[in-house]
Amino acid sequence: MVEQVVLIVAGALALVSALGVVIMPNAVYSALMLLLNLVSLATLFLMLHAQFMFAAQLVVYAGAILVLFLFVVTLLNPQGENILRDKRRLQQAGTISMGLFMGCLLVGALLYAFTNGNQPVLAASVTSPNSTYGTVEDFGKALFTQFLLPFELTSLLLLVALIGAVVLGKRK
Amino acid sequence: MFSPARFFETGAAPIVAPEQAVNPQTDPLIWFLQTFITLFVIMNVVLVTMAYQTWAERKVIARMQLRHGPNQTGPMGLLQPIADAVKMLGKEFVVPREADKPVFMIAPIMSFIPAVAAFAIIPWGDARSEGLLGGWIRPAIANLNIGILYMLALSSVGVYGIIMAGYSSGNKYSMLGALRSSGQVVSYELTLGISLIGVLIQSGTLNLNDIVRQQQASIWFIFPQFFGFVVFLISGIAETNRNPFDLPEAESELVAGFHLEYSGMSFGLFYLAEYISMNAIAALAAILFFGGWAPPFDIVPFTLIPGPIWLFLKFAFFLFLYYWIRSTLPRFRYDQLMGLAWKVLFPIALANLVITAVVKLIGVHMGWWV
Repeated sequence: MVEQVVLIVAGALALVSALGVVIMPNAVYSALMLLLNLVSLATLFLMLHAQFMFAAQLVVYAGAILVLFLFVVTLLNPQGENILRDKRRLQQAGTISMGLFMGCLLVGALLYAFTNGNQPVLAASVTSPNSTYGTVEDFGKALFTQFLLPFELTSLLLLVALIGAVVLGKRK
Repeated sequence: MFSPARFFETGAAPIVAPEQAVNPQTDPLIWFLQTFITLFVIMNVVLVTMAYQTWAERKVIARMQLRHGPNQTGPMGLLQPIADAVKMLGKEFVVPREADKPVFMIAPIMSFIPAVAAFAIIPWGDARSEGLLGGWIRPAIANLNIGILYMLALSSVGVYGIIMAGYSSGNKYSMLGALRSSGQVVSYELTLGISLIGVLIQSGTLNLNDIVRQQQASIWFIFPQFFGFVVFLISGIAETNRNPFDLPEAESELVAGFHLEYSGMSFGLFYLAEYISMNAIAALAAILFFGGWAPPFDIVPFTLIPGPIWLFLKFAFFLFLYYWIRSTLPRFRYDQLMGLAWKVLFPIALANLVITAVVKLIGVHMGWWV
C-alpha cells in the first residue's frame, strides 16, 4: 500500500519533470527539472530494491553531472531559447515531427508491454527478506566478476576522456 | 506485501537477523507512529542543539578573544538563541527586483532539507536495541544499509541550495560566492568520500551502526585510519563552509556571498543549514572514528554512562574543535584552498586508501583478519 503510493507519486513526478525539462522556457528551470527527474528516478530505484543504484544516482548524476550542467547554464544564462519561438521553420518542423515519432514509438512499446508482454513482477528472490539483490556487496561482486570487462573498458574510456580534457585545457 | 521493518532496509539482507530482532514491529500503523515520534524527538533535539550551539560558539570564541560574549539576555546569555530566533522570524522577507523569484524561494529549502536529512541515520544508541520507552523512541530513525553512501548523496545534493541562491539573487556578489562555494564543495566532497573509503574497507560495511559495533569489538578507527581522519576532518570543515574555509561568504571580499540578498527566516534557513550540516559532520566524525555511542572501554565506570551521552560528549568535542579552529586560523586564499584539496588532501586520501586496502588484503590472506 505505502509502496504503491510512493511508486505512483515518484513515477508521476518523474514524468512531469521530464516533460518540464523539455518545455521550460528558461534553461536553468530545465536543469532544475532534470534534478527533480533524477531524484524521482532514484526513488524508483529504491522502490525496486536497488539501493546501490539509488545512492549512485544521487551521488553521480545529481551530485556531479547536473552540478556541472547548472554551472554552465547559470553562467551563460541563455534566456528564452524556446523551440517554439525558433525562427528556423524547417528545423523546427523536423524537431517536432521527430519528437512526435519518438513519442508514438514509446507509447506503442508501453502498450505492447502492458497488453502482450509479461507483467513486470519482482521475483521472489528479490523481495524475500534475506535477499541481497541490489546491495552494495552484490553490485560490487557482479561488477568485478560477471561484468569485469565492460567495467574496466568503461574506466579506460573515462581515463581517455580525462586526459583529453587536460590536453584541451592546457592548450589555451 | 508491505512489511514495515524492511521498508528502509530495502532489498538487503536485514541488519537485524531474525533471531536477534528485538520486538520486531509488524503492525504498519504502530510502526508509523513510532517513526513519527522518533522523528519528532530527534528533530527537536537537533534544532535545540543547533540553537544552543550558536550560544556555545559565541561564548567559546569570546573567551578565546578575552571577551565576555552574550551575557545580557537571561542568565549567562542563555536566552540569546531564543531572542535571535524570534528576531529572525519577525523580520521581513524581501525579494529583490532582479531576483528569479521561484528559484529564490526554493533555494533556502534546498539547502536546509539535505542538512536535516543527514540526522535520519545517525544512531545515538545501538540500533539493534529496542530504544527508549519500549521502542517508541528508536535509536535511529532509519538504520540504513547504505549509510555512508546516503551521507555522501546528501552532501552532494546540498550544493544545489548554494548554486540556486547565487544564481537567483541577481547580484554579482552572490553569483561569485556561489561559484566559489560550489567549486569548493565539489572538490572537498571528493576528498571526503575517499577518506571515508578507508573506514569502509576497515569495517567492511556501510552501515553506521555496524561501523560503531566493529569499533566496539576492536579499537576506534582513528588509530588505524589516522590519515583518513585528518583528511575527513579538514574536508568536513571545508564542506560545511566553516572557517578557515568560509570563502563563499568572505565578508571582506564578497559582502556575504550567496546568502547576501536573503533576509528574515529565509536567511535563517541557510544559517540553520550551515550549523546543522556542521553538526552532522561532527556526529559523523564521532561515529566513524571515535566509536559513536560505544564507551571507550568495556569496563564498569564507562559502561554505566548510556550511549547517547557518549555520542554527545564526542560530538561536543568536535564542535569545540570547530570553534577553536575558527578563532585561531585566518581565512585561506582561494587558490590555496583548491591547492590544499587537490595537491595535499587528495594524494594523502588516495595513499591511505591504497595502503588500507593492501594491508587488509594481506591481513585476510594471513588470517589476521576474521
